Amino acid sequence: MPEPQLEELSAYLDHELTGAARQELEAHLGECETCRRRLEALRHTVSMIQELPPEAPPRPFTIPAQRKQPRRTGPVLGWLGGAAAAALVAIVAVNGLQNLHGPGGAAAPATLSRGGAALKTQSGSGSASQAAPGTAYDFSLGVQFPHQAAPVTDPRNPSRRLQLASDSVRYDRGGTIRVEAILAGASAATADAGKAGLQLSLQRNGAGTVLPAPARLATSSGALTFVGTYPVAGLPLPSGPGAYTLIASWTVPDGSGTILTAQLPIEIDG
Amino acid sequence: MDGKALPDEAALVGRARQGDREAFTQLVMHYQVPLYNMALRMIGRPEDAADVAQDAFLRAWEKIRSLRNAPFKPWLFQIGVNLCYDHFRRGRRLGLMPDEEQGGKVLPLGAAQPDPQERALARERDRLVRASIESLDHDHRVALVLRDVNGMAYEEIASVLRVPLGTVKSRIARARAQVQERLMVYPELFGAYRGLKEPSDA
Repeated sequence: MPEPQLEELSAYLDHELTGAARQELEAHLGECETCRRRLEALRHTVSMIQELPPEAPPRPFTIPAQRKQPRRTGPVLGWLGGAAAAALVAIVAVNGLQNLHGPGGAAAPATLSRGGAALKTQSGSGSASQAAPGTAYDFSLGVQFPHQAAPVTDPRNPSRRLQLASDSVRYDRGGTIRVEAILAGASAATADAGKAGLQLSLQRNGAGTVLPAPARLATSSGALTFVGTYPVAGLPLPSGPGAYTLIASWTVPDGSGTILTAQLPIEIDG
Repeated sequence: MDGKALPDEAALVGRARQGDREAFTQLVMHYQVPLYNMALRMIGRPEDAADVAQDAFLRAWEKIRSLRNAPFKPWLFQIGVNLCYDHFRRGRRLGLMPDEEQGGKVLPLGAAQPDPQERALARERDRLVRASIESLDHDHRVALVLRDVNGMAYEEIASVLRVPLGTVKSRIARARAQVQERLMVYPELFGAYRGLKEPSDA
């Protein structure tokens, strides 16, 4: 047989050569030292690739509770591509929520502070819990987040917004608090809530507890969505059952000292 | 890691097609590591790879009703591969470059290497192998990754990529040869290549 091609040696290593071709190649290898060395070198290359250690995904993958209608694959999604599509959901959700807020008193006060000084913002508008059913962002493990704080917009950069929501208003001691925070206009696509500048806490009567960092659920060039799941029984509540304020604090990591703060009242029963 | 089909996969897919989210979740659990690692070896950035894998699962969930008698795994990977290509097209527009250092969390598989110097050498070898894979053009890279990272058979790869079997065979061979050429530059790390000529036909 003539000297085997690279393709044949490669397929031989993968047990992808048919009977006759395989026998011919093996006969040639029995006689040709050069080809045996070629084969061994290729085998070494393949083993180096195959032995690359598998890596764990940096976050769990989730699917929505309800299937959406099939996506339209128009030019916009086509251009943005796959990963951005999930994040678009987050952006659309934020914009949609803002549109839901008509004039009226804010059930959930929102503040913005810079350099530590808290300022009232213009975000006081209708309670998101009055939102039309079915409009809540529904993405994480089938959980909906109908209890929403009014979005807080950075007046110096209107594309930057913080949205805070929870899956309920009232929890008992055996319940689980699920919290969603969307950072729209985030500059860094990090999966680390701390690096993104996000901190969640529960406060009551001036005492508070910082919640463990939530996990990032989706991202795009402009919005990061974080979701945290907190069994009430595992939380070191500073003052027992009662009315608490869930606080999301976003220290924008751009060196400007801008801090966006959204607050959401919740009840923890004894 | 190679994500062999689950024993009851056909039943799970059937239930998922009917809207059973729990059944689909089992499929996600089974394929999340191989699909993520495919995307990681294709793209290089852990966060982007996770985005691609997440989006692939979302799309699969939305479209699984259209999957009739075809096997689930090649179909899922076809979605993932297409999303990788989308990512590359987007990156070309935005001028993104792959990360040099991936820094991902390695799954605890295989024997430990207690010698710090050997550990450092192994890390460097891994880095060079990853960089060699990333230097391949997309078509050769995906064929190599599906074969040598995901352990797919040639026929399965042909099904994922929708190319003839001969093309799969050729791309895998040439991709391996190109990786080998790059690794041969470092005989102090890859001693098995000492005294060897560069692979022919590359």
